[in-house]
Amino acid sequence: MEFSAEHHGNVAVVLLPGESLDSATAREFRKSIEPILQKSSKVVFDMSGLRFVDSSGLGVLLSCLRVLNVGGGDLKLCNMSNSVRALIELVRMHRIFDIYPSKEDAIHAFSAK
Amino acid sequence: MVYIDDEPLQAKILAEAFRSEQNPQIELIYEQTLKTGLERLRKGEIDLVLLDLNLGDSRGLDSFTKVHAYAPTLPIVILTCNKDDELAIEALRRGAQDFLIKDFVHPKVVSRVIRYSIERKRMEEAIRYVAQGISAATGNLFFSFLVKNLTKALNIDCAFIGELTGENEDSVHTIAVCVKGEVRENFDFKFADTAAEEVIKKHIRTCASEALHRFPQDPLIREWNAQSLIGTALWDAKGRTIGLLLLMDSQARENMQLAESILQIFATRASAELDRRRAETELRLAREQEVEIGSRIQKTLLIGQPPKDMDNVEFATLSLASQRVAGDFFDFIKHSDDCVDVVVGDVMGKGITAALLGAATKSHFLRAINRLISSSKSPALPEPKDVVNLLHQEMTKQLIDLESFFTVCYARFDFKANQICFVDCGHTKTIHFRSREKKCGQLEGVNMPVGFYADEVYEQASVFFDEGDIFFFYSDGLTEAKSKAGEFFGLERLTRLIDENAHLGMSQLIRCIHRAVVDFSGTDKFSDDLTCVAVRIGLKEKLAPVSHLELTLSGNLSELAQMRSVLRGVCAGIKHKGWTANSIDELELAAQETATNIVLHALHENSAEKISILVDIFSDRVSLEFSYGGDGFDPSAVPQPSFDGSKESGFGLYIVKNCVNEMKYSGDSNGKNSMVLIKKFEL
Repeated sequence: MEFSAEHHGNVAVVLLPGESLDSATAREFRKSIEPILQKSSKVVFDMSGLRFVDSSGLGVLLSCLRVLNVGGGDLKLCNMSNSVRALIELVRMHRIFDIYPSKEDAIHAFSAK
Repeated sequence: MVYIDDEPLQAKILAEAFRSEQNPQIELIYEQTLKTGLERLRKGEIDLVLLDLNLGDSRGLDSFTKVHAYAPTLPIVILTCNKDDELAIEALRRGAQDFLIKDFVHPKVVSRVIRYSIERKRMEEAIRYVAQGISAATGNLFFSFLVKNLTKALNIDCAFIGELTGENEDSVHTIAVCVKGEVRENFDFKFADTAAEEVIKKHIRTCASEALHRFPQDPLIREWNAQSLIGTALWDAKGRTIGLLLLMDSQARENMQLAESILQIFATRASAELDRRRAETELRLAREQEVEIGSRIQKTLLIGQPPKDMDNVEFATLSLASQRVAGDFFDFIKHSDDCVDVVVGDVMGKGITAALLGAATKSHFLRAINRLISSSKSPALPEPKDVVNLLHQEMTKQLIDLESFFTVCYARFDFKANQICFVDCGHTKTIHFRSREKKCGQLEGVNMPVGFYADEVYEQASVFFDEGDIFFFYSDGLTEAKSKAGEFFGLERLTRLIDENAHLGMSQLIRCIHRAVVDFSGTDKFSDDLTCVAVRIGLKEKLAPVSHLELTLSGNLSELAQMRSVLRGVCAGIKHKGWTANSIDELELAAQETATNIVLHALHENSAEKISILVDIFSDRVSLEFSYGGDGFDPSAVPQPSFDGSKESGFGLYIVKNCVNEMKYSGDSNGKNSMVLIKKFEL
């Protein structure tokens, strides 16, 4: 699975690949993102390409969040579509994740304390 | 012939006498002892043995026994002394053809005895040969064996057995033909002006020579170069000629008697076989015709069409003919938008009689209703019990005469009073699914079948119904369908199926039940008609799906994206206030979660397994039915998810429940699972 990661200072911004993060693609994504999670402690997932996320995709996002938290870092999400947002809210994960409307807002949030 | 006697003088006398005889020409070969006699026999070309019972090296019956054992197909005539008649008779019993007393031997007598003995023995052998050949054979084998063995036994070139055919019975169609020992292809011919014609008309005909001269127009005689012929007619149990057996030889024959006798003996057996063969063919044709007629009767006369345009009720029917048509019938009579009658009945028995009676009964119902309506002073419809009682009056005498009867359930659905008023006459108990309790009960009937009992008075009963209630009428062909193990499908199984699938549309329900019966019995051909009528009381709007789509997936996660795409496409076409983009997203998500669960937990990602998804769009909702095999599922055993972020999984079911209005899982004992998701249009 290929995806691009840009660095803004010490924040890694990853544009999530493909149109959907679901039971078919979640496992592979989780494996491929591991190196980035090991290298950076401040990660932003840009979800502008994602149209569909299911519970497996959600599980993977949670897993990434936990790995980063354990290492003292954090994960922020941005550019979420309405339907993905609706899912996050349905399972009440909007209180667990930090969600921002844009990439810049998310990066900025890492510097503000 | 061989003459065995220890007195050479006797031989000389006989030999001298024979020389003057012409018919038959007898050549006498003299042997003095049994031993040399047997040796001579071994060399062959002997037609008869004339044996003195008193020989030097053998005495009495012993000699006979030895010769007979040595040459069982040769005729033996014994020579005895005056006092030995007991010995002679015993020898006859053991198989000697005849005996002569030494002192009374006259050449003419001897020659006659010899002649007849040879003939008789030949006939015995011929009969035995032919009889052995045909003893076990039946059907077509019998006929070919018969002609073959007859030609061989009688040393005749050609023979055939034929049966009379043709519209005017003017032709012969051969069943077995044997020419020079070989079975030949059968053929047909018109028998006017042929030898066959004479045989058929006069029952037996022989022609010892110059057959062509007698029957100049006979093509067979010409083709086979026949000089002599002999034939016998074959007849059925009533004595009518149905065929013939004809033998022809290229040589003229002097003595036809042997052939005639043998022919007569086998003609009877051949006739019986031919008669039986014809009867079997007729029976088979009759049966085929019956099935054909029966099927047409059923399609046109026995089943009625349910009213299609009613808002407040949904009908579905199933009518599967058995291999022989039977007497199941049903009909619908719509009196008004608020009143529909349903008649479901079963005439006892099978075959065309039952089917015709079913059709007659159906039309009698209509007649009875019309009669009552026109003779009534009030505008109210005749009560169901009045209809049945009038029907009973009109039909019972006929039914008793025909020794038949029928069971029927005549039910009136009254949508003003929300009641079903029914007369059940010995029919299978109609199943009533109550939507409030979500359980099935049965309508109890109190009456006898119609045609049982001339004095029966029919009573009706009434039951209230609610919206969503289902009434299921069926014939016993359904509940009595047998599995390979001999178990009946049964009322319990049927009831359970309806309980579990009551949420489906009536056509779907019937399809589901049909599938279940086919699975249960392991075949889709049944010995009794399968009939059912499903009725659902519904909202004042159309209950049948507006559109219907079927998808099939393999047990593979990679196909789910395709499923979602198709689903989105179908749902995008729904134009309704209560259906938004959000509705589509939610349904898509619910379908995804459900399908993922099925692939992972029921099918264990086995691509060979299949999931079938039925998508039905109604006027007020969308229904997705997932059907699959594999492991079952207990929704109540799934724990609530944890919302604190500590768990990454366990959200699937929670998501589904919150994205659709209804989620229903059912699994049957055959390992078939069904998950139904229903999402309503929000108002």
